[in-house]
Amino acid sequence: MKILLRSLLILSVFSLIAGMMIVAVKGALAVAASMGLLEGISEPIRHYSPQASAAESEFDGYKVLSLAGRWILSMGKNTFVISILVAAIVFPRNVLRKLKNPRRT
Amino acid sequence: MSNSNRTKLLLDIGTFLAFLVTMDPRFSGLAIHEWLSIALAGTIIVHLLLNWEWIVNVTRRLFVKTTNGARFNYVLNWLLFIDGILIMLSGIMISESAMPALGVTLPMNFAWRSLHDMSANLALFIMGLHLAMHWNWILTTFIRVFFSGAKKPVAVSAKQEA
Repeated sequence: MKILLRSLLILSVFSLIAGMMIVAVKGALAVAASMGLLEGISEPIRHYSPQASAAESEFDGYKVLSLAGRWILSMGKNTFVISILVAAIVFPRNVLRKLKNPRRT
Repeated sequence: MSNSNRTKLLLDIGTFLAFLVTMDPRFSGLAIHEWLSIALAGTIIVHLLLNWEWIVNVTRRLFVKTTNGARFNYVLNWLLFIDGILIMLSGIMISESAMPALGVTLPMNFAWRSLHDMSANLALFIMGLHLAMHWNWILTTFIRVFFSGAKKPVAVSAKQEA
């Protein structure tokens, strides 16, 4: 019961913030449209179709290897960005902590 | 090592790996990107439920008696939560696989696509800060969960020697 109530609370906060975002985006678009800022901008087209996806999934060894390589590189890039941030914050903090309290390991 | 900490760590590692996979829709494919992101929403709710006591305690003491580090952490977590909502909402709005499969078709809008890209880049940055703020807990719990078993034989042999 407690877990259910907490989950409902999280979902209601989620819905509230999502509702505010929808209103904000719609409002901003309406203002931009009234000022003529949206002229000449075309709406994007959905590209995904199950047929195309099935055709893409046909096995091609080189393509799969190349895709896997690029995926690993891209994931490596994201991991690297996060690692840099973690190192930049954790390392100085731990050094400061050790300087303040040298006995603590 | 409490079971709660072990569960938290394993869930967090899974969520983080899923986050990294969803950050590359071009390579994982749109369908995996969208369905995995929807599943991530569920794991985030469980993550919040597992850390509920901390959230309640810091919320109560936020303006009265708490450290600046905890305050910063609290604000950062809210930013990550709001950014997560923005990613999911904009993702639903521009969905090309999951929502149509569920029979929901939403009008496409270029604003949501831009918001989705921006909020995803911001999430990478905030996630880095979030990890950094909890790094000591992650490292300590990781060592306890995965390497504490290896230490036991050493302790036993030391006892036997004594």
